[in-house]
Amino acid sequence: MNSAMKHASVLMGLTLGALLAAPSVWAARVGNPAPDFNATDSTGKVQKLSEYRGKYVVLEWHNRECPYTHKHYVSGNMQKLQRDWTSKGVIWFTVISSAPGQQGYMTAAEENAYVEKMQASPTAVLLDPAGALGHLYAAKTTPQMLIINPQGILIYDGAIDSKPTTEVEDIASAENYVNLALKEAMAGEQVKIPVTRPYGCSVKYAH
Amino acid sequence: MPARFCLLGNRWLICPIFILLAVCLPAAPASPPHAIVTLIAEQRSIQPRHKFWAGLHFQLEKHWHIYWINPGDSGEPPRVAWDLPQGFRAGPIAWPAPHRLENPPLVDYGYEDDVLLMAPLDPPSRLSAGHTAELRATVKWLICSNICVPEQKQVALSLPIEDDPPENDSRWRQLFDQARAQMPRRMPSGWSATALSEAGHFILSVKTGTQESAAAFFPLAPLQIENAAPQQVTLGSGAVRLTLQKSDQLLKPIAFLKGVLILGDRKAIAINAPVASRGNSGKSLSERKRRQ
Repeated sequence: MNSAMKHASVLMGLTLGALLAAPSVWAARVGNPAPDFNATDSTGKVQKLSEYRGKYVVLEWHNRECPYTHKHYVSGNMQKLQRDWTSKGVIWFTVISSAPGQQGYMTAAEENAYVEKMQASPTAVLLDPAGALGHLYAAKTTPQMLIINPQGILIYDGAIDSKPTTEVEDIASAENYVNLALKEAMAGEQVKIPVTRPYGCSVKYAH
Repeated sequence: MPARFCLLGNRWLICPIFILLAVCLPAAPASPPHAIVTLIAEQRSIQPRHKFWAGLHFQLEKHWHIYWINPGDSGEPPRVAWDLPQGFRAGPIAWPAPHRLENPPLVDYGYEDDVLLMAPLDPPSRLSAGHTAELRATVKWLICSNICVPEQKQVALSLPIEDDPPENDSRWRQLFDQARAQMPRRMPSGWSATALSEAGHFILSVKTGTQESAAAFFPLAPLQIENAAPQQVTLGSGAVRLTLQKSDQLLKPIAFLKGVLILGDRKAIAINAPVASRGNSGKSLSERKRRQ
């Protein structure tokens, strides 16, 4: 996807006022400011990234029917991460970029029922059926994970953990990169593993 | 094609009516696998102490694919856990050259239709002729079309142990020959590969001494080049040059660019190009100029 197309799809999908201010925001890259966005969550509320300046923000790309995402939900691993970190003041956005008709696409009602059933506790689920937020952050897979620090800088982009499989048994022995990065950052340390290959299923964007 | 729609899951059945009852309903609880995987050996018997080649033969449903050792932007390569008689050792899979699988905005690397993943097996010296060796393995793979499904199978093969040199199994000769033809080869003598690191790109230059009709690079490591970016290829007389967009996630310099270069009609060459940066190596700059 070239930058012009990326630009166009972002324009179509999001309300973007602040976003267009600086061209550099197109590159979501670890070490750079995370591009701002406005996106509607599954309760109908518009969530604006820059309103959470001062807090850590986690973005979790999600497709409940992807076997890799499924592994982390059926095991309760993702829900535990959400509980653990939101209880420490972290903002957690689950993002669904599946297009209508594609695997993982959810209406707000379907998603709210799922969150309740799975006892998930993200701060909010951002519905991104046009893929604008996905393209803005170049999200490739589910479950791809990104972390933004209180200064608005992207500090982690990649996999949820070190074992790129669909098997629940692998979670216990995997190194969880989200825990690692948040712990290090909150302790004032450099994030030692800021980038990994984001394993999983391709994000099901509109074709 | 019908199966592809039907297997999207129980909630999303957009099957043409005429196949709805025939295919979708029985398939709903446990989908049939999208790949047939069998364990085969190149030879009919095992001779003690003599290494031989086994292969996992994947026959994939149309429009479905599995992945290379570097799967690209999504996916996961097949894994094999061998369960062999005592003293046998298995070597790593020899990966045939991959294909570029376009999945906009992503690009993956893998195989469609039919592929043989070969692995060397090393039998011990103390084996009794007249017995049979049971070779077993658990194979796990991710297979995808527009959706992905993890599958697995236990495969097995019995081969007699004989002291005489084994005969090849003619049933599989073509499969092994084809797989070998797709294996990346070491760079021929006289060829050389170097890479130059620029702001947003690597420039991979390969001196071949030949005139090639096409070239494409497949990186062995993730997060070095942007898989989906078009590769700008210059096919000179005696040299090939590719401009490869760096991955947005590449934060540190790399010493080597490793991968497979596929030339012309799928001639695959293993590449291990030292990377020089513009400004700190006059040598590679001048080399580059010479090749232009």
